[in-house]
Amino acid sequence: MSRRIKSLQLRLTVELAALFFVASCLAVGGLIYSASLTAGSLADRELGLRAEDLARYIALDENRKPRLELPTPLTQAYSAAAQQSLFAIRDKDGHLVEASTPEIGALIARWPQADSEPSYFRLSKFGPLERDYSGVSIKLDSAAGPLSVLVAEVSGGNQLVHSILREFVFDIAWYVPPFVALALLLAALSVRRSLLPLRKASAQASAIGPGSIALRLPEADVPTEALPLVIAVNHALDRLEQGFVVQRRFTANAAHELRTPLTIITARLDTLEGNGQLSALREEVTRMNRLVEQLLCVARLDSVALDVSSPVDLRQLAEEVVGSMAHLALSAGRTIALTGADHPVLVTGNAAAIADALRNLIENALAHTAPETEVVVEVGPEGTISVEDSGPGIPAEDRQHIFERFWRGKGVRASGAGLGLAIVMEIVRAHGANITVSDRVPRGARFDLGFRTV
Amino acid sequence: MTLEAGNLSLDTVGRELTIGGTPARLSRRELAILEQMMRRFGRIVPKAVLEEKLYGIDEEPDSNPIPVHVHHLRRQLDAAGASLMIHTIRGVGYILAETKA
Repeated sequence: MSRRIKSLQLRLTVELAALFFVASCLAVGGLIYSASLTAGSLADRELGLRAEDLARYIALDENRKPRLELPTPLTQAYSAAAQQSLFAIRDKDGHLVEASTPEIGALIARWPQADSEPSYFRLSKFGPLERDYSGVSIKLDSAAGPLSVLVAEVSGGNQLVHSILREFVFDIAWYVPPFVALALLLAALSVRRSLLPLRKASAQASAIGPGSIALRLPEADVPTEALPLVIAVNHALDRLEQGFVVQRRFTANAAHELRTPLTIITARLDTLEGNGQLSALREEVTRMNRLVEQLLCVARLDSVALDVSSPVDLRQLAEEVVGSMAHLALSAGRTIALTGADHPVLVTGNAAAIADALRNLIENALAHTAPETEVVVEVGPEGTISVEDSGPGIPAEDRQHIFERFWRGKGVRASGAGLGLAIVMEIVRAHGANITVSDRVPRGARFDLGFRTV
Repeated sequence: MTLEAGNLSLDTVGRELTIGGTPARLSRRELAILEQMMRRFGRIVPKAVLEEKLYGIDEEPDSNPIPVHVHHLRRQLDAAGASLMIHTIRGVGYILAETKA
């Protein structure tokens, strides 16, 4: 079964279609069969009536012999269809009273006297035209006493019965396709509707990520057959979340425990008399302080939902952050500038978090921009902040990785731990804001943050 | 009170500045600017703060905008061999920092 249909809906529909087709064929076949039975009995009944008709027109002639005296219309009808409607009549002594053709007269002469129970027969390739006939022979009373009457009709010659039958089959045939189509449509819709909860569950599942590990698949309305799977997946997610929480707690604790000794080391270093090696050591300790700070920031973002509902003046915030980082820029041989709006730009968010994000973006830009160049921060009146550098830019293939934790570009001066942009991403996500990375002309990278304005 | 930064020393009361021990003469406005810069040595001095200090104390209208004063101040510090330099942080303000070799 290599070509099995994978879609449940399609498979059910196809199988139902086949079932409907077979069922309607059987139903139509059955109907046609019973219709033809009815038609046959109708034909038989008509033959019997015709025999009784003939017997009624038998009279005795002057020699007290039975004689057929058909009214003119009937005589005409019988002679017009001489080879289609046959009849023959014998009296009780076996003498032929009347026969529509000599062949039928000869035939009845060879037959025994009829019974009062009608006996039906078929003649094949009879008469000069060699046609098939079906007929009845019956004993009937008449004015001339009991008679054997034989009536036969060309098979299929009964136009009325056959046209009724044809019309009936035709009608049924017309009803069947729309019925089948409607039933199929209903089946497909019902299958679709019962699979809808699964579709919702999969939409929910694709929303689950490191930032939303508390989400679970909805169990309401899920079909009973699929419920065990959904429940099992939810339980698996429970266990994963547990592991995740443990790991996050570990990171937070580790960072927290590192902070105190680092503070002591920093303080001690500051009191020592400086030489070249000491300042190198100070730089390393500063870096380490920053790393621990970032780790704590990540842990905090992971564990506490950020309150992003306050009004924040992006312009003022950018001014403070840029000002606080000016010295860092200058001591690294770079400069920094703030451009754009010179009036308040209000957005909804969390000022401390946005400042954190901006600080990380500027740090990142300062680490990559060329010496003696400027990192430019721009605040747009529509609630945007951009940070531009004049570094090598970010290769297109790296852009999907730069926001991952601990990711560092190849051949990039390893100054940080690769947490800065991950922090930026977390903050952007918590704000429902958007972030884009692009190239700066003529060289460098540009990050754009867009927030919701008040 | 005496402010120290690099090889600069400023007596805020007597308004006397020495650069590497040598007295230097600056205008009142330039001294006011330098005082703010030295008070916040290594940190940014927003333009608004300088404006407030200059125009708040001194009532008479000043034809020269702050960048001009800073420009003069920078040149004089450089000429006198100061170990510090005033950097402009566009859009934010000024910062007094060690001169990059």
